[in-house]
Amino acid sequence: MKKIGFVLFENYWQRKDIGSSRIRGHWIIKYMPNSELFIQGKQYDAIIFQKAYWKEMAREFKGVKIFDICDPDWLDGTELVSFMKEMDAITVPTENLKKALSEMTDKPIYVIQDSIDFEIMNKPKEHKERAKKVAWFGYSHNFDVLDPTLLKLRKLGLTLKVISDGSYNSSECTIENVKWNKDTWQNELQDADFCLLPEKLAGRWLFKSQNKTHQALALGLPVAKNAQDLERFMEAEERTKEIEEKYKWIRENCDVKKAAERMLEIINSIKK
Amino acid sequence: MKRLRIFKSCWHTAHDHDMIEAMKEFADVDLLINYTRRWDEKNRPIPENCEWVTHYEKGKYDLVILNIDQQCSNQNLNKAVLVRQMKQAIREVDTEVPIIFINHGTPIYPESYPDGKKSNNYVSEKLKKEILDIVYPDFMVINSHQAKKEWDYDNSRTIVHGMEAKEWIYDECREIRSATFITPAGIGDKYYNRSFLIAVIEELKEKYGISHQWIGQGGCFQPKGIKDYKEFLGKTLIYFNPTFASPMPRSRTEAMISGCCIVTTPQHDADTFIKDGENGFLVSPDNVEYAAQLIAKLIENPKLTAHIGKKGRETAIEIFNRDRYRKDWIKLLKDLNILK
Repeated sequence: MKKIGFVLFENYWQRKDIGSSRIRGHWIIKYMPNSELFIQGKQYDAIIFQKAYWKEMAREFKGVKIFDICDPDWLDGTELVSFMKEMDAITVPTENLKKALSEMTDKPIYVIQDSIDFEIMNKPKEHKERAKKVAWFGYSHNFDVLDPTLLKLRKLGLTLKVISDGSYNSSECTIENVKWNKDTWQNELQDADFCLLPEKLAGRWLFKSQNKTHQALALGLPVAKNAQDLERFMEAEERTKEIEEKYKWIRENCDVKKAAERMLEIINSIKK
Repeated sequence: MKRLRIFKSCWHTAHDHDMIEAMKEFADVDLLINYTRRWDEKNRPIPENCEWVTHYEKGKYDLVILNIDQQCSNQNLNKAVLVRQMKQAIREVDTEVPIIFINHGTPIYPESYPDGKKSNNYVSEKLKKEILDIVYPDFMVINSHQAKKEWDYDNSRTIVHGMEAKEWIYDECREIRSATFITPAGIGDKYYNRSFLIAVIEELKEKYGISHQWIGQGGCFQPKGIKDYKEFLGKTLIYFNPTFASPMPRSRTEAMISGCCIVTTPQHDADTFIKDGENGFLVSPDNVEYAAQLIAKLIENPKLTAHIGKKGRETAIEIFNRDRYRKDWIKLLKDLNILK
């Protein structure tokens, strides 16, 4: 059986608690036999470069090389094309990313959507009362998506809970800031009645995966993307109905065990 | 002599370069491709006896050389991760291959180990234990005799660095200036004794109107590369080394071999090769007034200062030469029965 090492973005760049490394690295490793976080000096049969542009290793490593990318890094000037040349296959979370990358490389590109580790998720929230609090979570550099929603939140009398690496401030509505933490984020999120995750549908945001939406739904929280949704999810009955519809789909289609199986299939399909 | 094959990762390129060059006649070195330490090819060419490899292979190597220093106690640092991962990767598949750790530091790190402040020499017993737990039971090479005493680890030996004098520039004509090259950033205030350096710089400026050159700092000389740095040192009259706990700083040896008149703290064996007033000068690591006064006086007497610098260069060539360094390594490797 092939020994597989994951070089994660967060390890390569000496960062902590990076969402993509958690979802596309740690969670998958947990369910993929013979895989582990890459140990420098150790011999592997396959390496997954999770958003880690380690050119020297990509050039010299003779085993199976998979490049897992979840962001349009070429828009930031990263030398993606020459890095992909060294790879045997590319994995991405969305069809849009696959389409864009297929213009840049002839290497096979596979979609492995961002998934959920249900073993670590809280039980889905049950909804009983009219909504009082709505939550947004994510990196602080995406705060601007919240700006157009504040007036509506005030009108509906909703408190906005922001779970992030920074603080979001405005006088337009009541805001509660909480630092994202891997041990507390689920409880913090379930303290709200539903999530507010407005989307930008242009430029680099076209490539974003639905991982936050999936996580919220897995915790039993409906996700409002616009003003109509905000109004709709005020009542407990509507929220319960939404979760009944969506939770089943999430369980069936977004289990990280399936993502791990798919990644293993891709690795094993490459003969070297 | 059977040629050795050594496995190691990069550390300080200058140190690696000198060591691998010194081993040229008896060893080939495989450097691990890693994401923490890269070879600084701009400043030092990769020696011919080196190759890049992606992993450790059992049975391929006669020796592993790993690098460590006191900061490796901090597991959030990539270099700390690297040394731990390498040892783990090697020992998982090979329990026989000898590993030599080169310890570039001292057990002094008051920013993270305040227990050291209670002792006269700032040595932290807690830090010592954490680092030696990584090294044990393997062999450790230490950069100075004082550091060896401080680490107090039986399975160890001191090998001080050695460099090729002809790779450095010596100009009889010295520019009338004093300089220091220590890192301005990060932790290590006590280690590098930066507060002493800053106080001496201020005293020189205020009392004597002298602008000391803290190399790389704003308003001071900014080397564009190693060649530029060598040319600067080769013409500089005085080099001031303020360090408290850095075991045998390379920058001081580079300045000494380049003919700068050395003004240094006596720490880490400096008092065994600097004879005060003959081939350099010793200043205690907290006597700001004396250090500044001495540098000012040396600047007033450039001929005498240059002469002392020349004497210091002779000492450096005698003590810190690559041939002695090579012989020290051969002796160690023979004593450990690695080189036969």
